[in-house]
Amino acid sequence: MQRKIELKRGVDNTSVEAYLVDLVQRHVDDYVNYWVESLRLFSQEDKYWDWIFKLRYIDNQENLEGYAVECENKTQGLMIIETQMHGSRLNVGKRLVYVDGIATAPTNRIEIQRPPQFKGVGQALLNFARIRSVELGYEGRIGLHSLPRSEGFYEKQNMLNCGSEEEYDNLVYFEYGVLRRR
Amino acid sequence: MNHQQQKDNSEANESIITQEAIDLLFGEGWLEEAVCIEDEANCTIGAGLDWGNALPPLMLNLPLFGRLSTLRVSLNREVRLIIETWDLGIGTTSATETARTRIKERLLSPTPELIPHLEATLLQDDLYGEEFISNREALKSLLAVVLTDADREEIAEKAANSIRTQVMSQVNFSGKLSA
Repeated sequence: MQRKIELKRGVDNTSVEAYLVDLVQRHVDDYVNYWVESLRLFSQEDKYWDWIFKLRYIDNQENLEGYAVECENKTQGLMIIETQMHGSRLNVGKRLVYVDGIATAPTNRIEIQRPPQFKGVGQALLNFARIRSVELGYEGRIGLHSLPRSEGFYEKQNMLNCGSEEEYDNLVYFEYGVLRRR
Repeated sequence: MNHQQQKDNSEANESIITQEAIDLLFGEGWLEEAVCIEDEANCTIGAGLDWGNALPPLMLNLPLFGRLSTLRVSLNREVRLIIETWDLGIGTTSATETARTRIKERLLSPTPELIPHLEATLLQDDLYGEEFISNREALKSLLAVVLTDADREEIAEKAANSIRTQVMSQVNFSGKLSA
């Protein structure tokens, strides 16, 4: 899978070509070589995520899919989705795509670099998760448990805040309902 | 209802197709909107349950990786449901939080005695088809070995402390009132 998209350069808001692709080893290598140290240095909430392990794991699992955003030959974002086991909180009985993990490169995080190198990475991944949801017959429904410092982002997305869930260490659960025509 | 209304309703009820979704989500203006949202939110995108600073050794067995997360959230839910039946009032939250912390610890660093119990549960294929394990008996049996006597002692202590704090704050309040 390769889908051409655009991102904006943070420094001057010019558009730049990027690609949404399947998660493969080179993305994990970028994570190890360019992300890990910064994430630790800046005490990011997802600093411990082990994408190396996740990549090895999803290769063997039918219900998991991994995707990455590439721009200027570097990995700009990563996402893993679960496609078979999660149900909607808003419409009980309906399946959805669950975002198991989503992260942008340290240089695209406003907490680490101002202005960020590229803007739109997280949104591109989230939009793609909705497209997968449509393809799978889930009508665009997606759900996720937000990291505490990311809640504002999902609020702005108009995802429905379903409140914190004890089972998930009190992370707040957000859900997009059915994708409708405008 | 006229023909146009019927047509509109029928279109609204039809599921959106992939190309329409692509046009909606990556059509003209999506990036400008995304940048605007990103600027306004002023924070970083991120999601997913964390395991802390080390992956549990059991996760090194790749097929069990996903199941361990399912097991964790299911045990968290089961322990909450159990504690709610104990009628601890104000102590319920601290009791549940303590139990959850201990469950995470045990899954991260299981004792040699616990490992066979966890592996047996993780290898039971029929438990893992949904977000949460629905077999409550299996979860209860596992909780009985995951949480130690010391854990139960701590859960009781934390709940008791919460009740004590509440009582003391009420006593102080009454005292101030009578003074």
